[in-house]
Amino acid sequence: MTDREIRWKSGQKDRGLTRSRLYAALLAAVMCVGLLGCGSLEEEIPMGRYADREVKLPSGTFTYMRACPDGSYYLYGLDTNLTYVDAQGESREKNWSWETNANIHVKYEVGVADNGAAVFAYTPKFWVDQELEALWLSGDNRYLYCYVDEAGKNHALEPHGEGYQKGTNLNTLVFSQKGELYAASANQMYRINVENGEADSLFATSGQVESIVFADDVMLAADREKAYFYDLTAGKLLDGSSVLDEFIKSHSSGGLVMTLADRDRQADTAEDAAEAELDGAGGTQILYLACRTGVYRYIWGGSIIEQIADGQMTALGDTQREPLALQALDNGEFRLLFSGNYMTEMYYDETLPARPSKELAVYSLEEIGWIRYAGQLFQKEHPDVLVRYETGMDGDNAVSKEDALKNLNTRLLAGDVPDVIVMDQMDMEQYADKGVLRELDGILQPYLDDGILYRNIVEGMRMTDTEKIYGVPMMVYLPLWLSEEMYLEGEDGLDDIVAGVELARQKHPEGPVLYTPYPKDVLLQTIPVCLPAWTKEDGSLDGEKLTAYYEAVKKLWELDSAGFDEAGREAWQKNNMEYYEPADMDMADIGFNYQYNAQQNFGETWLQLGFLMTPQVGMTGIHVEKANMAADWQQKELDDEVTYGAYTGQADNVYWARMIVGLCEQAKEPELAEEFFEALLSDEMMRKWWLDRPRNHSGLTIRKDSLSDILDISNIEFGQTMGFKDPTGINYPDFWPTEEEKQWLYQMMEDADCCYRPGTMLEECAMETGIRVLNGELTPEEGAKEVERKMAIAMEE
Amino acid sequence: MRWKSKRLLFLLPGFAGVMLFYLLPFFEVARRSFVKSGNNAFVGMDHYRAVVENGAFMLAVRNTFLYMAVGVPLLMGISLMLSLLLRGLLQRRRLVSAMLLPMAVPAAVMVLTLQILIDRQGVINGVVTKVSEQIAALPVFDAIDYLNTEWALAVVVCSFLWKNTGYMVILWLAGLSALPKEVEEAAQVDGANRWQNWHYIIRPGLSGSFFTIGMLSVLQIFKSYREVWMVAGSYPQEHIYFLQHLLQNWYLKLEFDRMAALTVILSLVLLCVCLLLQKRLEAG
Amino acid sequence: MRKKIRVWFATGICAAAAALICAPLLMIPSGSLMDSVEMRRILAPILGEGKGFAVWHLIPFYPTIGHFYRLLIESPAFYQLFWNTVGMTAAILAGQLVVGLPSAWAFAAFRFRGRDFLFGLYVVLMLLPFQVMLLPQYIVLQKLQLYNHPAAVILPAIFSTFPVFIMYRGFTQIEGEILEAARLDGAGEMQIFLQIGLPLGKMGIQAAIVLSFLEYWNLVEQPMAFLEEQAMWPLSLYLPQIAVSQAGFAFAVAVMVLIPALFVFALGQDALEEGIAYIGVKT
Repeated sequence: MTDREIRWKSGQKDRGLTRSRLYAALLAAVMCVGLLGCGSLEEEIPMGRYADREVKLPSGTFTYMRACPDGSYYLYGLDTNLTYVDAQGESREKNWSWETNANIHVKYEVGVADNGAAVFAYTPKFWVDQELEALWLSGDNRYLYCYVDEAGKNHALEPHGEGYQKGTNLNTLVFSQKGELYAASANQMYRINVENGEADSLFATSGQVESIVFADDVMLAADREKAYFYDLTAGKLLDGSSVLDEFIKSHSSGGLVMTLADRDRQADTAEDAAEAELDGAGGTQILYLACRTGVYRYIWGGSIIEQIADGQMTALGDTQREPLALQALDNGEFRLLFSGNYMTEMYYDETLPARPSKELAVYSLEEIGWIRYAGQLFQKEHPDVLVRYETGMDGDNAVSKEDALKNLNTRLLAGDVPDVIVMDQMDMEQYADKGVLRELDGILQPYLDDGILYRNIVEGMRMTDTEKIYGVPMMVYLPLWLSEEMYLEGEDGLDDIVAGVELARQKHPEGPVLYTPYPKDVLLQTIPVCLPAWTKEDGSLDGEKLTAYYEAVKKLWELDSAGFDEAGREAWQKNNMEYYEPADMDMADIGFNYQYNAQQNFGETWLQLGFLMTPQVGMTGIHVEKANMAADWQQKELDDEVTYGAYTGQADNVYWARMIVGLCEQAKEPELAEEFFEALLSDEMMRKWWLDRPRNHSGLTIRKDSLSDILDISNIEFGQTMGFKDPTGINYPDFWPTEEEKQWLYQMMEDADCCYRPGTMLEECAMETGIRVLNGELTPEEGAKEVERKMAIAMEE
Repeated sequence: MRWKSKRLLFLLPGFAGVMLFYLLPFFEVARRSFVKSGNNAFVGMDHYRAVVENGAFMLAVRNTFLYMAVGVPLLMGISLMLSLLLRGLLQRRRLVSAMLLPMAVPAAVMVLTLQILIDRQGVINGVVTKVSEQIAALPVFDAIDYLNTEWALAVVVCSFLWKNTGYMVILWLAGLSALPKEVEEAAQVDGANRWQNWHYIIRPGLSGSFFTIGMLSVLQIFKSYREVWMVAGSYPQEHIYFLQHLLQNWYLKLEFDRMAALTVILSLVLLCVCLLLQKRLEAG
Repeated sequence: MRKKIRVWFATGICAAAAALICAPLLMIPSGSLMDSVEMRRILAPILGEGKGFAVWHLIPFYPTIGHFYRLLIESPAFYQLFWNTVGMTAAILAGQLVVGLPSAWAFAAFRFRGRDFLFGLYVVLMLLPFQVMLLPQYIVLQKLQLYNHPAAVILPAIFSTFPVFIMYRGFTQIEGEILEAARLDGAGEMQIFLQIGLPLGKMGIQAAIVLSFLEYWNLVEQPMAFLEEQAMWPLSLYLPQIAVSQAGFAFAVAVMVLIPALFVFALGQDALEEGIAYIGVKT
C-alpha cells in the first residue's frame, strides 16, 4: 500500500529535537533529585507514653467486668462467683444464695449494677421440665433470666411487654448508674424493669449492640457498625456522630470496648489536656475507646477521635487476646480486662520515649504464636524497642508460599532486611549460601558448653559444606508410634515398620491398620523419618533410597487397603470427610494435627505413626490425640496393652525442626537481634509460653531445664490457667508422664541428631510423585526416576 | 516552527513515567547483570556465562520457543479466521464478549476449573472413558495424566488458546474495521473472488496488525506463565518448564544477578525481533 | 440468498466457537451454588481421595446460596476489596487514556529521530516479565515512598506501554494525507489529535480500554508485591488459594468478579464508541 508511505516521512529536520534533549535532561535531573531527596531527617522523639502492667486477678476465671465510677469493679466468670474489688484493690467474693436454688444449666450473660445487684441470662436444666425440654429439643435455646438484688435475693425475671417477643434472647445486659436495666437483642434495645419484667422497646438497631455507656440522661449504645445516642428523658434517638460511626466500623473487628469519664476529673492528667479544652466541643464528658490499635479519646459531642495510647506497645496489640472491658480511672490510668483471664492497667510514663527509638523486625512465613508472644514479652522488657513481627502469608488469600518468598527476597535484595528470620518452610541453605544469614556458632557456644541446650539437636543444623550453624529450631517434634501390641518393638527402619504392619494385619484382617484414609497420609507419616536419608554427600539425590522408600510405602498402603473392599474404604473415607468440615481445614492439616480424635468414633485402628507435639499430657492416654495416635483409649479404657515407642525410617534419630530462628547478616539492629535471639533461648520464654498456654502444639523445647519444667506437674495450675475443668471427663494429672516416661523422653531428645525440615522442594516433589506411585500410576522405580529428573533440573538452575 | 515542540509534549508526560517506572528499573537490572550482588564488584560477563552454560536454561529456551512456535501462529490463525467471519455479523458484539469471558476469570478460579477438567481423574478423562465404554468399536481408553506426560505442552497450548482467542479477535476486528470498505466493494464489483480479496486487499491492509497481534500473542504467552505455574508447580513436567519457571526459581534462590543477565539477553533478542518485524510489516 | 446462507454459516461457526470457549465457564456459576459436601464428593478423585472420575453436575443436587451468603453478608472485607478493585481499575484506565493516548498519537503521527528504536523499546518493556521488574520497581517505589500505597500499583500501570502499543495501531491506520491536509488548513496539533485522531482511532482506543480492563480487573502480582496492607488489596487477592476445600467459595467470588466484567463488555462497547465520537465532535 503505497498511500501509507506517503505519510510525511522522516521529513523535516526537527528543531524541536534539540529542545527535546533539553527537556529530557531537565526531567532526568528532576527525577534524580526526587529520588535522592527522600532521605530521612533525624528528629527528636518526645518523651512520654502509655505503658501497661499486668494486674493479678483474684482466683477464678473472669470474662466480665463492671467498672464503677469510684474506681472499684466487679468481676464475674462463667464458673466463678461474682467478685468485688474495691478501689484499693482488695477483693471479696460476693456469695449469693441463688447459685444453689436457681435452675441453671449454663450461664451466658450477666449485667451487674454498681451496688452489686445483677441480672443473669442462662439456659435452664431443660431435662427437669417437659415443656422446657420440648422447647430445647425443637432447637429453641432461649435464655431465661433472673435478677439477684443487692441483698442477694433471687427473683425470676420474665421480660414482657409490647415490642418484646417472648423468647428473644437478650445478649447484652447493662445497668445504668441509676440502677435501671438496659438490654439489647440482636436488633432491638429495651429498658427492662427488674421488679416486674416490663420491657419497653426503645429503638431498633442494625446489629447486636455490644457496649452501652450512660452520660447523664443520654445513653450511647454501639453495635459493630454504628453508635446510637438515645435521650433517656425525652425517649428519642438523637443525631448520631458520623466520626464515631466511622471509627466503630473500622475498629470493631478485634473487639472494641468503651467507657465514659467526667472530663474535669480527667483533664489534669490527660496528656494534652489544654488542647482538649480548646476542642470547643463543650461536652463535659470524655468517651474512651479501646481496641487492638490502641486507646482513643472522644470528647462527648465533638468531632475528633484521637489516639492517646498505641496498642502495639501494650497488651492491646496482642492478637490472641480480645479486650472485654475498659475502666477509666481518676488518675488518668486505664484498667482493661482481656479474654484469657488477663487484666492490665495502663499508666502514663513520662520517662519513656513517645515511640520506641528502635525497631526490631522479625519475619516468618506463617504466623507462629510463640514468636508473637516472645516479641511481646521482649518489648515489655525493652520499652525503647518496637518488635515488628511480620508474616509473609496470613489468612485465606491468593498469596502462595512462593509469592511470599518472592516478596521477602525482593526486600532482601533491596537491602530492606529484617533482623530476625524464622525459617520454617524456607530453604535455609540457600539463604546461608547467599550471605543473608549470620553465623550463630559464637552465640551458641556457651549454651552448648554448659549443656543448656540439647547439643545434638543444635548440631543437627550444621551445614554440611560450611560447617556452620545459621539457624536453631526452638522446639522439635519427635516421631512416635503407638499400638495395641508391640508390633513395632525393636523397630529399626522402614522394613520393620512394614513387617510390623504385616503382623498387625494378620491379627486384624479387616478394617484399617494404620490411620491412613488417603495415600497422602501414608506419605505424611513416613517422609519425615526418611527424607534426610535421600540426599547423598555431594547433595545429589540417592535414587536407590528413594526407590526403596516408594516400595515400602506402597507395601504399607496395600497392606492397609487390604482390610477393606472398595465400598468399605469409601465409606470410611466418607466418614472422615464429613467429620472434618471442609471449609475448616485441608486434609493435610487433618493428617498431621488431628488425625484421629477418639471421641469421634471413627472406629479403631491398630497401629499409629505420628509425631509427639506436646510432652505435657502423659505418655499414654490423652496424648494419643496430640500425637495423632488412634488407639481408642476410651474403649480400651487405657489398659496396659496400649504401647508406644519411637520409630525410625530410612534415617535414624530424626527430629522435626520447628521455629528455626536465624539472624540476618545485614540486620539494622544486630545487637538487638542477638539479644532477642538469646531471649528466645531463655528458660523464661520457653517455660512461660507453655505454662501460659498449655495444650499447645508447639513442640518440645530444646532447652533441657525448660522441658523438665513444663513436664513438672506442680508447675501447672489446673483449672485456672487452663481455663477449663476436665474437658474430657478425664482427670489430667492421672495421665501425666511418669518419671520413667520422662526419662525415656529425655533420652530421645538426647539421641535426636538428624534434622528434618518440612517444606523443601524435594519433599514436595516426592510427595506429589508418591501419591501417583500409591495410586498405581507409576511404579516405584518410575516415581524415583521422575523425582530425580526434577531434582536434576533444580540442581542445574 | 513552534508546533514542533508542541508535538513533543504529546510524548513527554508518558515518557517521563516510562522512564521512571520502567526504563530506570531496567537500567538497574542491566547494571546488576554485570556486578556481584552484595559488594557490587564488576564481574564482566560472568553472569551471562553462568546463564548460557546452564542446562536448565537450554531446556527452558527450547520449551519456551516451542510453546511460542506452536501457540502464536495457532492463536493468530484461529482468531483471524473467527474475526473474518465475525466481521459484518449483527451478533458480533455479543459473540466477541462471550469469547472474551475467560479473560475476565480470576487466575485462581481459571486454574481450579482447568484442574477439574484435565486431572487424570478429571472430567475430560471421565467423559472420554464413558464414551469409549459405550461404543464397543472404540478401543479401551486409558486415562491420560495430561500434566505429567508429553501431553503437558498440548494442554498448556489449548488453555492458552481458550483464554486468548477472544482477546485477539478484538484486535483483529479493530484492524479490520480500519480497512477502507470502498476498496473491497469495488473489488467485489470487479468480480474478485474471496481469495483474491484476502490476498490483495485484506492481508496487506492488516500487515501492521500482524505485527501488533504477533507481539501481543508473545506477551500473552509470557503472561500465561502464572497459570501454568499454579497448575503444575515450580518444577513441572519437562516439556512445560519455561523461561519464567527458571526466572522464578532463580528469584526464589536469590540468584538475581543471573535473572538480570537472562533479562538483558531476552530484551536484546526481543528488541531485535521487534525492530526487524516492525520494519518488514509496517512497510507492508 | 447465497449471502444469507453465508451469514448464517459464519454466525453458526462463530457461535459454536463462542460456545466452546464459554462451556467450561459454566462450571463457575454451578460451582458457586454447590454445597461443600457435594463439591467435596465431586472433587474427591481429583484430590487423590477416591477412585473413578470427577463428574460435574451443572445443576447441583443440593443447591445452596451459602457461599454467596458468606461472601456478601458475612465478609465485610468483600465490599472493601471490590471497591478497591473498581477504584484501582478506573484510576488506571483513566490515567492510561490521559497519558497513553498522546504518546500513542506521537508515535503514530510524528516521525522523529529514534522513533523506531524508542518504539521498539516500548514494546520490549511491555513484554518483560514482571518477575524481573519486581525488584527494581520496588526500589523505585520505596524511594518515592509509594510502597504500600495504592499509587504503587496505579502509577506504574498508568505508564505501562501496553495501551500505547495498542492505541498506536489504531492511529497508524489514519491516512497521512488527511493529517497533512489538516495541517495545511492551519489546524493545530491538538486540534488534529482531537478531531481527526480520536474519532478515527476509536477502534484502537476501544480495544485498549477493553484489554486494559481485563488486565487490571484481575491484577494479581503487582498488588501482591507492592501492597502490604490487605485493606488496600483488590478482589483478585481475596480468592483463596487453590485450596479445593474452598472451591465453592472461590467460584462465588469469581461470579462476583465476572458480573461487572460482563457489564463492561455489554454496555462499555457502545458507550465507548459513542463517547469517543462525541469528544471528536465537541472540540
